[in-house]
Formats: sequence, structure tokens, C-alpha cells
Amino acid sequence: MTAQQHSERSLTRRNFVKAGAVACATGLFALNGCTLEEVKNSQLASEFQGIENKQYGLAINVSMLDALGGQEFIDTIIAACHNYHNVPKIDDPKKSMDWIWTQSYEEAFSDIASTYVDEKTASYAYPVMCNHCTDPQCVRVCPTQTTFKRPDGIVMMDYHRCIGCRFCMSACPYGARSFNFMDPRPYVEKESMNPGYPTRSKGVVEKCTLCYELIDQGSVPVCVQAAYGCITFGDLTDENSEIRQVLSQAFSIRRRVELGTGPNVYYIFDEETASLYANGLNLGGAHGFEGDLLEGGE
Amino acid sequence: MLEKVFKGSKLYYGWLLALLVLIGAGVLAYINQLVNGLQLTGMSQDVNWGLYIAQFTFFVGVAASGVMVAIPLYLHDYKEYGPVIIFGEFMAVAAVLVALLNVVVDVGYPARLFNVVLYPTPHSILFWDMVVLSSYLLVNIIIGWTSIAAERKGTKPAHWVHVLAIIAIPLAISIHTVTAFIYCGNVGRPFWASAIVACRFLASAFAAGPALLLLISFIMGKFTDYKISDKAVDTIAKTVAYAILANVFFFLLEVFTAFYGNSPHHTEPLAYILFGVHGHNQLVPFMWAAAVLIVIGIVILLVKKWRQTRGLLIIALLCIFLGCWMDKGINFVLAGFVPNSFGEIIDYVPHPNEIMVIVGTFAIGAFVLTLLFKVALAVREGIAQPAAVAFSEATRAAAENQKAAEMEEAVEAAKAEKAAREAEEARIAAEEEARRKAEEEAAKAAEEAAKAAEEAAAAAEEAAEAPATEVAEAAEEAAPEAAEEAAPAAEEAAE
Ligand code: SF4
Ligand code: SF4
Ligand code: SF4
Repeated sequence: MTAQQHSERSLTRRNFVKAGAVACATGLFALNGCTLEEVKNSQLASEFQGIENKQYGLAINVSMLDALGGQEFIDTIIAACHNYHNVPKIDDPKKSMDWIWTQSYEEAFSDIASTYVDEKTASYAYPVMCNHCTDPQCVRVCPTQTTFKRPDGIVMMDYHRCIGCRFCMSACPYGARSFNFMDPRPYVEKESMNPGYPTRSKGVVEKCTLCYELIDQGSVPVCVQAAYGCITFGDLTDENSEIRQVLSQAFSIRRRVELGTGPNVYYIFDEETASLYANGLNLGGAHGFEGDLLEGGE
Repeated sequence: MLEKVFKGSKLYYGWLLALLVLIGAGVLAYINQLVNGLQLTGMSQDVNWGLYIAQFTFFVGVAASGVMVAIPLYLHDYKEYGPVIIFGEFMAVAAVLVALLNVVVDVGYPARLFNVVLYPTPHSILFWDMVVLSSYLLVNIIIGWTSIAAERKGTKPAHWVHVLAIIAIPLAISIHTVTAFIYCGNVGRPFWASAIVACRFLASAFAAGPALLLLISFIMGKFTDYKISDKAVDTIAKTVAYAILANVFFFLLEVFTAFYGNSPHHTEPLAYILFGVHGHNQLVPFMWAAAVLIVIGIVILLVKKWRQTRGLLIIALLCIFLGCWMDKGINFVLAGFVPNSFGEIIDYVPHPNEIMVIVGTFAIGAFVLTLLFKVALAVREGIAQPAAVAFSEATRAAAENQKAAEMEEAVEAAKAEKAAREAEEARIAAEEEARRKAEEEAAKAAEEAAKAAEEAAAAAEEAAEAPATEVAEAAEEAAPEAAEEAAPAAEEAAE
């Protein structure tokens, strides 16, 4: 082969590579450009007409929860949520399903936990659940848009679309998601089952939905109702909302803020209100919520 | 061409049968999993990916490694790889298949898998993984099949096949890069959230993949006519050596960054696989076994004499393949979940059912690989026999052509020699003539000088006769002097 032939060959070769690269790049832009917008828009238009841009969140007063009985009291809140949403009760800790559960201070706040923390803070039980993040990792990675963010900030799931790839579980930095390793229905207790709320099938992921169905009816989440005022719900973008008032009056922290996901569940430390509360100033009137809820769910 | 898969030896059928048994067992295990759910795996709410996704990751790497044969051949025209490339491409097809199967068995709701296509989601890396993997699979099937079809016809593959082969190169890099992106985008998992993951993946893939290709080639060489040239073997072995060294280097970079900085987020997963943490050390044996295997492999591959001893080379390749598999096919995925978001360590204990499913996917890959290689080999053998006549004719014609060309060359050479000789002769003749002329002139000059001397002598005689004897003597002396003077002149003329 002469030198000229050789250079000609390598030239055409290079052109192929170039052509391929250009073709790929155009393809990428085309895909990225249309599908993302279209899907989002159609979803928004059909499902969330009338929902304004908000960011709902929760403020959990852990001092008050402790004053009302700590773990024992929180267990009733957990039961209220799990019963209402037909979350299966699975004893094996590796496969157990949880929308809301408790962790210790050290576990829930491992990044900021102080070595010599005061006894109270260390002894509290901290309810944890989905943080309905402002920039949620789970939404970003979900390949089917099963998990998506509503304009009001709720990170929601479509259980009928989930393929069970569990990418969202790998991505969520808060361990907020549970996967149905087995058929959940036999594990939903008959007597506490809520016929007004759907059960899921095996092979899909689920998590706290911030009780979007109650919010859409103008109500508040189950756990908020069951917490006797220890958990405040509201729109964090509205400075006049109750949750913003509560947050403006006491010290609060969030979990793993440094990751940039923008968690919207706040933990309030407020001994003063807690002791007033424990003395019975605000108790009463909140019993019988289960009946109300069941009606609301139907 | 497909009919070729039906003709084979007893051994061939025995092997296929054994694979079918394993596939059957795998399918049964998978049905069991479909009925009972993914509880039949070692996964948990905290370790939500396990051996399935790890196999997926590892075999995407094996698939990508085809470029280590394709780049030298297509971009650098390294002819030694010509006969190997088809097997590299078919191995990539089988590896992508194993990878995809491991995704299918991993998802909780496989009936809905098509949702990935129905709701394309460009912001999900899994979507892109699907795009590049299916493209790569398709491209490799097309290239492999058209090349082998062309080989059967005794023609060269069409031009567009060559174009496709070059497009496949960036595609191969992309499949493993995108697979790495699945991991390194997870900010909450510090073991994965590292920019070097893609490099590490590619490096270990370019070691494990070609190692597997060589091992399979040796096995085929044992049972069939397939021959891979020693030169190709040695070049691939060197590729494996460089790649595994790069992988070790990248891993050590991770170790340094983690332990020098000493941030617990980074050190804990590494400490978990290197030494164990709080009594949790189930991955430690794999880590160190991988380290030892890889070091053995590297040492053998680096010493030229050992590398070129077939037995030792096989040991080295086995070591490196197994080491890479333990590193990527077990540890990388599992260690990413340590610690979980609450600082806890949850162990992963594989379920026998899950292992059976994985074995089944491997068996399917091996089955497809066997059939593809069978077709490729049968086509080659077919060329070697019925087409042998055509081939030998072609070689004879080529040889004749060459002979003719040689003869022509000889004639040309003879002509040139003759011309040269003639020129030389002419030159000599010319020189001789020149010399003759010069001599003549010299002689003339000498004659003239002699004449002058004679005249001088005569004059002297005359003079002597008339005046005194002294004058006569002087004249006699003068005459030879004149003759002497005339001599150099004559000499000069001669020159
Ligand atoms: S807490 Fe986890 S699941 Fe909930 S929105 Fe954030 S990333 Fe998603
Ligand atoms: S498991 Fe379901 S929700 Fe999670 S990423 Fe996969 S498809 Fe989306
Ligand atoms: S917001 Fe609703 S779903 Fe979420 S933890 Fe509370 S009760 Fe459960």
C-alpha cells in the first residue's frame, strides 16, 4: 500500500467515526428535548389540574412526642399510618415494609450526631419517613416516571407502573422506600384493614405518599391527625402557613442536608411547649380519628 | 447458515445437553421466584441490589471488552486479529444477553418491563442503559452475522459493515460507562459516588473480557480446528496485563483518597471489604482472594517467558478473570450499601434459588455462545474444504502472476546491466583514443625535439669545424640539453 492510499483510508475511517458521533449527538438531543417536556406536561395537565406550586412538608416536634410517651406514643402514629394505607406487617427486618418508623438520634442524624449529646436528645425516638425532597433523587433515577413530583411538592408513586427495579431505593439517601419482596396481602391484618385504600402487589416499591388523597380532600395526613399536634403539616413556601409559624419559633434540623436533596421533614426541639403539652393543656378532641379517616378514604 | 448448529460431534451435543439441563433448572428457579417474589434472594430493604445486578454489571463489561480486539483491527489494521474478531463479536452478543437476563430476573414486576420503553425517561440512567445496550446488541449481531455470511461466500463484508464496526467502538465504551453512571450518581452511597468508577469498570472489563476470550479460544482449539496465532495470543495477553494494572492502580487511588482524607463516609465501605467492620466481614475473603489472584495473574503476565508458556498463561488468565469477577461481580455492588443511611451494616446472604437463577442465565449465555461459535467455525471449515479448489486456484494464479512479474523484472535488470556495460565500454574506448592521441602528440613533439637536437648538433659540428674546439664542445653540451628540455614537453603532451 502506498503512503497516499494509506492516508486516504485512515481519512475515510476518521470520517465514519465523526459521522457516527454527530449522529449519536443529534439523537440524544432529539430524545432529550421532546420526551421530557411532553411527558411532564401531559401528566400535569391531566392529573393535577388546579394544583398550585407549593412544597408541602412536615415539622415533627420530637420533644412533644417524647412528652406524650415517646416510642410507645409514636407506635400508635405508625400503626395509624400503616393501617390506613394497608402496609403489610412483616416481621423479618430485612423484608419489613415501613412508611414511617423510628430511629435513634445517632442513626437518624449520623452525619451531625454530636459525641457528647445531651441525654434528652439522645433518648428521643425520631420518626422517619419520606422527606418529599425538593430535588428528589428517586424521581431522577426512576426509569418509568412511576415516582414523580407533584407541583405541590409531594413525591408520589404510581404503583401500577412500577417495574420493581429498585433504582429509587439505591438512590434515596434516606432509606425511605420499601420493596414488596413477597405478596403483601396476606400480611395485611384483616381486622385493621382499610377497605378504602388499595393494596399493592409483590414486586413494586412503596413509601409514604404524604397522604396526598387526604390533602386533595382538604384534610391533613394521617400521622398529623394521630400525633395530637406533635406533627405539623403545611406549605413550606407560604410564610403564613402554620408549619412556617411553628418552624420560626423553635430550633429544628433536617436529615442529611449536605446531599442537596432538600428534605422537607423538619425535626423540632422544643422543651418548653413539650412540658406545657405534657401537663395536659392541649389534650383532647382528637380521639376517634380512625373513623373519620376511613370515611375520607372511601 | 443456521443449519450448521445441528451438525456436530457427540461431545458437542453432550455439552449442549448439559447446558440445557442447567437452563431448565434456572428456569424452574426463576418460576419459583416469580411465584414467591424476590424474597428468594439475599436482598433486603437495605441491600436492595444483589448478585443479579452485580452479574449484570460484570457481563456488560465482558461485552464491552470486544473493542480490545476491534480497535487494533479496525483502527490500526492489526491483521493478526482478523480471524479473532468474529469470536469477540459473538462473545459480546452472549455477554450482553447474560447481562440483560440478569436485569430481567432482578426486576420485581417483569411483566411491566416494557414500561421503560412506553414511558421513555431521559433523566434516568437506566433508560440510557437500555438504549446503548440494545443498540450494542443489535450492532454486534449484525456485524457478526454479515461477516460470517460474507466469509462463507468467500467475499469481503460490505462496506457498511465496516462502518458499523467502527460505530460499535464508542458504543462499547458507552455501555460500560453508562453502567457505571447507574452507580456513581447516587450521592447517598459514597462507595459508588466516585468519578473513577467508570474508569475502573472499563479497566477491569478490558482485563476480564479478553482473558475470557483467550480461555474460550484455547478450549475451542482443543476440540475443533480453530487456531489463534501465537502472536495474537501474546498481544491479547499484553492487553490483559495493561488493563488489570490500570484497574489495580484505580483501586489504589480510591484507597488513598478514602484513607488519607479519612472521612468515615468513604473509609467505611472500603474498610468493610478490606478488614470487616464491627464483626461484619463476609466480603473480606472475596476481597483478598481477588487481590491474591490478580497479583498472581499480573506477575505471570509481566514475565515474558511465563506469559508465553501456555500452561502458565492459562493460570494467569483464570486468576485475572476470577479476581475481576469477585471484585465487580460480588463486592462492588454489595459494598455500596454499607453503611445504610442509618449507619447500620446489613449483611447479604445469597439464597440458593437466586444462585440457581444466575447459573441458568450463565448457561443460556454459554448455549448461545456455543451455537454462534459453532456457526462461525463450521463456515470456516466449509471454506477450507469445498472451496479449497477455488482457493488453491486463486493461490496458483497469484503465484503465477508473481512469477511473471519476477521474470519481467529479471529482463529489465539484464537490459539495464547491458546498457551499463555498453556505456562502460564506450567510456573505456574513449579513454583509449584520448590516450592514443596524446601519445601521438608526444611522439611528434619528441620527434621535433630530436630534430631540433639534430639540427643543433649539425650546427655545432659546423661551428666546430670553423672556429675553435671549445665552441664545438659547448655546442655538443648544448645539444643534449635541448633534447632534455624537449623530453618533459613530450611527456606532458603524452599525459
Ligand atoms: S426521601 Fe427518598 S424517597 Fe422520599 S423524596 Fe427524598 S429521595 Fe425520594
Ligand atoms: S422500583 Fe419502581 S419506582 Fe423505583 S425506580 Fe424502579 S420503576 Fe421507579
Ligand atoms: S404522611 Fe401519610 S403516608 Fe406519610 S407517614 Fe404520615 S401518615 Fe404515613
